[in-house]
Amino acid sequence: MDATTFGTLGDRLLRLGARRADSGLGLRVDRDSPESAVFPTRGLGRFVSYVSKRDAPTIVDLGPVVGANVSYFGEQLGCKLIVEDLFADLERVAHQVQQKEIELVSAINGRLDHQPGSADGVLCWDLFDYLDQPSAESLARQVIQVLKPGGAAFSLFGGSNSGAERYTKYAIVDGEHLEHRPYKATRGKGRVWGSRDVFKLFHGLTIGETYLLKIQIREMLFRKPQAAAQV
Amino acid sequence: MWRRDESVRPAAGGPSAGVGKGPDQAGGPGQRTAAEGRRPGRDVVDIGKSVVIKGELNGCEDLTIEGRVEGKIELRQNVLTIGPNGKIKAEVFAKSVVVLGEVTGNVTATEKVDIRDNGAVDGDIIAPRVAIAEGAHFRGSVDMQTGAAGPAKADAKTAVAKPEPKAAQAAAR
Repeated sequence: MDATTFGTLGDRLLRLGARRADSGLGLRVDRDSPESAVFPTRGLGRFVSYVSKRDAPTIVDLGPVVGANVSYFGEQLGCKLIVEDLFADLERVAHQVQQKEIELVSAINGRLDHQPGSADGVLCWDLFDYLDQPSAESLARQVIQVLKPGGAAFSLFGGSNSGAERYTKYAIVDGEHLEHRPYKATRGKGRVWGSRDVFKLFHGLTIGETYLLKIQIREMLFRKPQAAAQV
Repeated sequence: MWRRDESVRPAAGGPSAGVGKGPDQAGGPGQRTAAEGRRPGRDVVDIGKSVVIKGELNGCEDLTIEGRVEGKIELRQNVLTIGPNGKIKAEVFAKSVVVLGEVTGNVTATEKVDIRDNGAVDGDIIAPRVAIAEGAHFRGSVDMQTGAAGPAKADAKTAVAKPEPKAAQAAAR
């Protein structure tokens, strides 16, 4: 399937089924703006509700460190937060002169060297939008492996590719709002993931919730089934 | 007597002294020594940017490091500041840690860890309060619930059992 196409049946069904999480809020909505802006989120709240029920939760954040998020998860929710900043890895690979796919996937392979089943939650943000198929598959496998049974992963998928060379930090304003803080990058988003591709990518996890925001970002929550405990 | 604004000599002013109270902290001719310039009751020591220390560094004075330290730093009752030129490869234990330079290693503070703009930490942080500025670099884990009195975990990437985080937090309030 052409990943840039949004017209597949699965996608259409998903769009119909997705709940509008950002209706009725007069916040700044300009996703091409290089400046920070605050957007509503529904998926984060659900993610938090999942992980906060767990005892002494450990959350792996694949994005860059954001002070507000450290405070939110560490102080307010009592989580242990592990910051991985895979965007820094992407940036390092992008700086290599003759970039090939194999280089990216080799940077991603084995990157999450945590004990299997040690994380209650994984914050992927929009990292997958910057990955090619092999590296995305590799990372998804690692995310699935690191999650505890019943754990949740939160990911954002863009609906279009502006080609702008920047990453975005997502700073938690509160459980219902995220501040998007773009920052300069060497590369732009690589692809737009169709929903069917996302489902394949996270095969083994159940799709907990999907929200389609007005800014054409899909927030998706995945959960590792409890039955996987014996695996 | 002494002037208040000279209580902490800037490390950029030259290779300042190592740790401690020895005569090697003296500055150039006409300058006061760090010992003379200190405020009573609050000692502050600088490690200048040309100073390299390998081994264990213990003390009971506030310390600013602009040089390099490899090994272990223990200032359990004091504030440790890693200056913009400071490069640390060490396990750090202190009351408070302010990072403006680079730290590679686990940082444990009983009060606060503060990573300022352009500060960088690669390691695990255990502290009840952690502040990370925009523009700071951090990679590792942050644990704000575990008691910071003990040594940092050897491998924070393994699953961790933590004692009653929320209850402890609520009790503290």
